[in-house]
Amino acid sequence: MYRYDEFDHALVAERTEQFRGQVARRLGGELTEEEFRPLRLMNGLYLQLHAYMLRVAIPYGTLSARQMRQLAHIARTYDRGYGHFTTRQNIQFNWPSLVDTPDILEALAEVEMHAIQTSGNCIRNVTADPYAGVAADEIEDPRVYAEIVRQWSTLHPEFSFLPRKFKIAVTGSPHDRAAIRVHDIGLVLRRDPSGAVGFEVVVGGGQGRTPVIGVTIRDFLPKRDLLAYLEAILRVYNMLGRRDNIFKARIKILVQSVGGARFAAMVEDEFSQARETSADLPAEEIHRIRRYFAPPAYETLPSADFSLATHRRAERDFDLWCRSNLAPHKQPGYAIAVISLKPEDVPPGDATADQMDAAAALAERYSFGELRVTHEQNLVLPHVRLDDLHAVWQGLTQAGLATANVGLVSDIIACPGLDYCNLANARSIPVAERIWNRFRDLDRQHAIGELKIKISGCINACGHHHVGHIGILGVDRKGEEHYQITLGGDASETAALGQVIGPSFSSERVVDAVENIVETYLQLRSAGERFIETYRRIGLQPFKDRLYGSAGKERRHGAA
Amino acid sequence: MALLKANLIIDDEWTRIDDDAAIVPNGPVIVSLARWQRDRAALISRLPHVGLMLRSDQPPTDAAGDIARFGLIALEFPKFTDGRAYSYARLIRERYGFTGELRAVGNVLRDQLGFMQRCGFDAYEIPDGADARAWTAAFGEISVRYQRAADRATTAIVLRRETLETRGAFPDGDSVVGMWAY
Amino acid sequence: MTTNATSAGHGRIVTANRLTDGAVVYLTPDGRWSRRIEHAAFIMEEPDEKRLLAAADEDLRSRRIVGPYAMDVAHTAEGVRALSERERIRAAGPSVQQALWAQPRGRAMTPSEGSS
Repeated sequence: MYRYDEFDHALVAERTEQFRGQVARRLGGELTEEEFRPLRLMNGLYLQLHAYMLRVAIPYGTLSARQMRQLAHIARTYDRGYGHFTTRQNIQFNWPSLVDTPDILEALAEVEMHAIQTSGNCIRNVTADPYAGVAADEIEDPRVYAEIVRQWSTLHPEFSFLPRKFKIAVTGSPHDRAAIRVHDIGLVLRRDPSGAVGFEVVVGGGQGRTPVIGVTIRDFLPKRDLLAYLEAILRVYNMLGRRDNIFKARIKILVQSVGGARFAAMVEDEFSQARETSADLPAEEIHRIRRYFAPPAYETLPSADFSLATHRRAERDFDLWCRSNLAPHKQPGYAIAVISLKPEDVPPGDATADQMDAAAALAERYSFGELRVTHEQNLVLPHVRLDDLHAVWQGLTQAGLATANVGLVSDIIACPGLDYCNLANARSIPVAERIWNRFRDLDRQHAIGELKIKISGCINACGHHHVGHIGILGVDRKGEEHYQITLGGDASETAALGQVIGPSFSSERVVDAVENIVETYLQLRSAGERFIETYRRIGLQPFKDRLYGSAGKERRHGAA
Repeated sequence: MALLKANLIIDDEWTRIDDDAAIVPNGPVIVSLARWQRDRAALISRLPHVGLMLRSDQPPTDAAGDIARFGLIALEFPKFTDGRAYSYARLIRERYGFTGELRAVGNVLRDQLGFMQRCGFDAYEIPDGADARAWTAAFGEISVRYQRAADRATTAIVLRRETLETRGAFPDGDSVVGMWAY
Repeated sequence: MTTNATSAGHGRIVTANRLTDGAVVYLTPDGRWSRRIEHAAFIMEEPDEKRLLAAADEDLRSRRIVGPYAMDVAHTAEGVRALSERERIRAAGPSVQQALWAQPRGRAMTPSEGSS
């Protein structure tokens, strides 16, 4: 993984000093809150419902065991002993004080981390496929380019006061595990007919109030042009994006209003005019960064392991875990192991400081010291030998991190919601917990199969509900928490936005509604069909009928 | 308002004139885009002692052919959150070859000076009584530049390349042969 | 007039966040900021609300608090109760995992913290 050189170290050190000065000027009265607010946002410090919240960047979701241990230390020393992993591969601390934040940033800088640009109207954390570098279906490791874009976008003088926030995601695989089509810019590594690797550039995707699937404005962009082309897109957006209405200020609105073809033409025009002066990306810089992402010293191993099979036969719980929590690794004899942060009765994505340390220890011992964070709020040990999986599972079990539910109905993505967030209309965490309780039988979860439920506490859609197979949106209906359900969303390469199924459900009824939806699927699915496949085959109507009856009224679960 | 230029508070030699002001005084004057477009024929002989003021909704393309001839261009930040002028400044310097004074006016905050300078500004309208030393300290706070900008400061990429060229190898001893091709 | 006596009914109080640590605070009759909603100055008339908000703005300028505003409450036999779900959660803390977040910030390090 990337290691800071002298320039990277200098930048975070200078930035930390700069913020320390800004905090002092705020506390000393030279800066008003209005002037200070964008400065603290550009260092990831929000003021939330109960306290400040600090969002720390985990670039493209990759971190070392040492970095994870430092996050645990920060949680213990400056916070209340836990953190929350987010849908953009970052971590949030919910209770830091403003006074301590410069010290927290210094502790982060010690391990080559920061909170720069995790908020504000600037370019945010660049996210990537959490299985980057190890996925069997990968063309090239997208993290090389995510790191290049990260540096280019950090303290970019022209793009620090955009009309609105800007999110970029990169995938190196045709299977999109980075949700690139619902990002402001999505980059897809691909080959041209001659076999050269470059980027498909997708622009104007997004969720929130007006969800949109992004449009491809360039089928193939050579690597050398990556930064110059991104600059052209950002410049067009910076100059023409709306600034009169924050709900219409994202680039997706601009792309929709001028049309994809016209927007592409504007970008190409700016790109060709700016050739001389744009950001350069020399070959040696790509090589320099790529060296950091060279594979670790894998051993030569057979592709199947006898001891693993033996353990799986002997221990049912371990077998279940292997079925849901592993992904194929490109190196024979290894597996990708997902650490579920969705045990029962825990807010999705939360981890205690002790759990962070446990994950770090397992990474050190069994995964070349490396971890990943997924945008589905789980962690990953990216390089585990097959014959170590049983020991890893035992270690995870001791730490409460071995729930065998990845991708299943209880692997819910939820934003913090009204329990934590200033923007929320309704709580999301209790709904996630109650759904978990309803489906608590793990065998039942495995029988249901892949089912991605995503819950947002407000229209800003930080829970990504628009791209959930089942999406749940919290709304305020006459002062009460209500939940609107969408079906058929998809964050992958077959990206789709969910369709609203009907009137919203009360807090009391929403879990029944979810169970009715699942039962409808189970009754109507063909053999081996996942939920999303069944939905695409039969459509919305059978689910609507089940929930609302053909008379259109909401049916009570279990009523005669 | 005070004018910060070259790390000093200086007197402003330029006078802003309203669109309706009948008399154009001697000395360098700043006019709005509307006035320039209306009275271009009369004002053109005064160049380069005419300056152009652009609002944040007026990109420099609106006066493209004349940009390089003005002695001064002032770009407005009506609210500090309105960042369009950062792009305008770069275009003015890098696309239109403007070499005169590029002045940031309006809601200019100390913590933006570094960004503004890198985009090509060299003069800043700041509040009266502002402490020049405290403000100019802002320029030096971040020395690392990851990306090329109008100020042509040496970027980290260039410094890294120089190191590789000098050493002929990466810090861990790996050769740099073959690193120069895509 | 303002009171935090036992008169029942609806009214308003002024709330904000403390600048140093972001904690939720409520403006008391003697001009302090308390963490406890039941200490808040209970406003029943608009001139009093204006006066208290002006005092809050003064505290905003003097950097004790940020983001002050007035909010609706009911005063019952059980005490002051926020009327909106958002303010109830804001007063009581997150409705989940209380055992975890209710511990003080930066509690003593565990023995395992010796090395990193």
